[in-house]
Amino acid sequence: VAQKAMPGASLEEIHPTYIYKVVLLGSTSVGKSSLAYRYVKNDFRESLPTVGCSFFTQKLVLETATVNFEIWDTAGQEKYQSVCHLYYRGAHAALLIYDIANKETLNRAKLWLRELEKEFLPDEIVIALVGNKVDLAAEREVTTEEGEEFAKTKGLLFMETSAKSNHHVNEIFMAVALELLKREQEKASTLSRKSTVDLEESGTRTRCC
Amino acid sequence: LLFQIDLGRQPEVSRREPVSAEEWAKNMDSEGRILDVDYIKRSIFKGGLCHTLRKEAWKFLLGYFPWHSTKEERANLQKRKTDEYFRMKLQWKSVSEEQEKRNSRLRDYRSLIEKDVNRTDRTNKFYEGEDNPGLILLHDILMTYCMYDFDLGYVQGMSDLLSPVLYVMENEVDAFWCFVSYMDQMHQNFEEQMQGMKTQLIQLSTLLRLLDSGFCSYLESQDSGYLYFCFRWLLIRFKREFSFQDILRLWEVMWTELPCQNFHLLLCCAILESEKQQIMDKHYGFNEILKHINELSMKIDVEYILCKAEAISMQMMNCKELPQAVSEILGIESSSVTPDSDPGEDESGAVLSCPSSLYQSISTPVIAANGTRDSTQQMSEAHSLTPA
Repeated sequence: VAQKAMPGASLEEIHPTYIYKVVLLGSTSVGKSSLAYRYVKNDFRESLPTVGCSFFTQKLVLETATVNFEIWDTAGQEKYQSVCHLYYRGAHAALLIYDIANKETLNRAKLWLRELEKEFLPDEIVIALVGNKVDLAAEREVTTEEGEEFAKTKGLLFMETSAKSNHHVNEIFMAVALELLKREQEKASTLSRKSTVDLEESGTRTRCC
Repeated sequence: LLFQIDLGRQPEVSRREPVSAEEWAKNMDSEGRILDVDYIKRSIFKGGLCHTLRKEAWKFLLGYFPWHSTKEERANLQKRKTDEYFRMKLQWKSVSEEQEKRNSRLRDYRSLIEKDVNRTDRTNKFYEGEDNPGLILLHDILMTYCMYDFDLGYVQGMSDLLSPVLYVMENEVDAFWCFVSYMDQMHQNFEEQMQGMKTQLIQLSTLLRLLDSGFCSYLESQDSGYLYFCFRWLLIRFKREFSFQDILRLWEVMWTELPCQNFHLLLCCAILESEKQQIMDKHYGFNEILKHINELSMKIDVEYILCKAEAISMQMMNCKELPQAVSEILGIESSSVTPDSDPGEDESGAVLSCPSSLYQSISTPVIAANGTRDSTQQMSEAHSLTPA
């Protein structure tokens, strides 16, 4: 979609650049790293369990703005939670990822949500609930409706994806970007166009890899 | 300490070729006792082991076999340890499905292990493809380790530590006990609250400050003073940073416990020192530093970094005013603590608290320290498995 970058289309005033930090949270083996890898490199591979944290960047050039995503991929095991904590500080968005073929992982995503609610005010962070591995339809344990319903009650974005078959991966990041930009606009208009959006200069940044 | 300590210039260091099977055999008496343990350790530190020798030598390096044991003693030990292993293996094997339903911790361990075994070093011949016996061994050893240490159980990262050990041992029981010994060293990294990790990060920053306080200040100015970007290096001893073959070399060198304690922290310093220029020139911030360090994976030359870390260790050991904290981390006695003890003896400011002959030069051929790869290394990829 809009990931096909249009070089040179950045007059800052009419086409601002935003840097957004997105953290990927969820149980072990739900596909956090795979989603990041698919989105950034458009490829799928078996990846080693993440220890600590990995970091990806992706540039998204939209009509109205350029979005530089800084994607923080975290370790899934609960034991590493104290470490993950260090990484989601200052996040603009979070993807809470679960595996549609493993009900327990949705519960854990709900726990992550509670963690985030402690840390952030609702308008400080965009949160998306992501049911990954729709390619495993035969083993599905969580219905689409169940995920959708939960997301709705909590005011989260929602999508089902597959990093493996490349289903809705770009779309979920796009949805997050649009939501962030929408909030940016709302903020700007409530500040009566005082234009305090962080136009952190990043013109020299290039697309990752 | 507020003033800058002069560490002097970094000495030239060279490495030697790996210890050969012949050299190893020559250093053993008729009953299989190793004659000169210090010499062997020093040689391994300087050059590593040729691949064929690893299966035997790693058992000593990891502490499964006592260095001064005879062949017979080792055979008896193995017999005992085999029984002990299978006793523990049977414990988890004999838990019925019904029982497991009421044992959430065992269930969680099992599920994590199954997930991780399926994604550990799968491109390595030993673990690739479906139904590879290597995968079953990896799984069974990790499950048995849970019975050996149920409190710790399984934590992600442990499969990384086991995989090269099993690859070298090609035997379930030996790999298990070597892994147990390795875990004795690494245990704290995986404990609740990650205390071992925190301690190491603090120690690393103490060392780095002595080496390069300017770089430390820069990192602090970028909110990176805690060195969290080294987390993965420390957690699993560089396992993800080097190729599989390089890890075998790096680990066996570290296991000699030479030339000082916590040599792995000096390896961190060596890598950071190599990257410092770029990080500071390009004015990397918190995110870029983390990204840059993560992306060094598979790009670091193992021989070069071993030389550099050794050179740093020599710099520190020769330093006359080594801060107490640094001496403690490296396990060296600083002579500045005991001033004027033996005047005019030698020039080195610090001495090793372990055997003092460790730094004698070794009279075997040497390869250049310019980062050239070790071409003599045997890389036997095809292995026959011996699942138990």
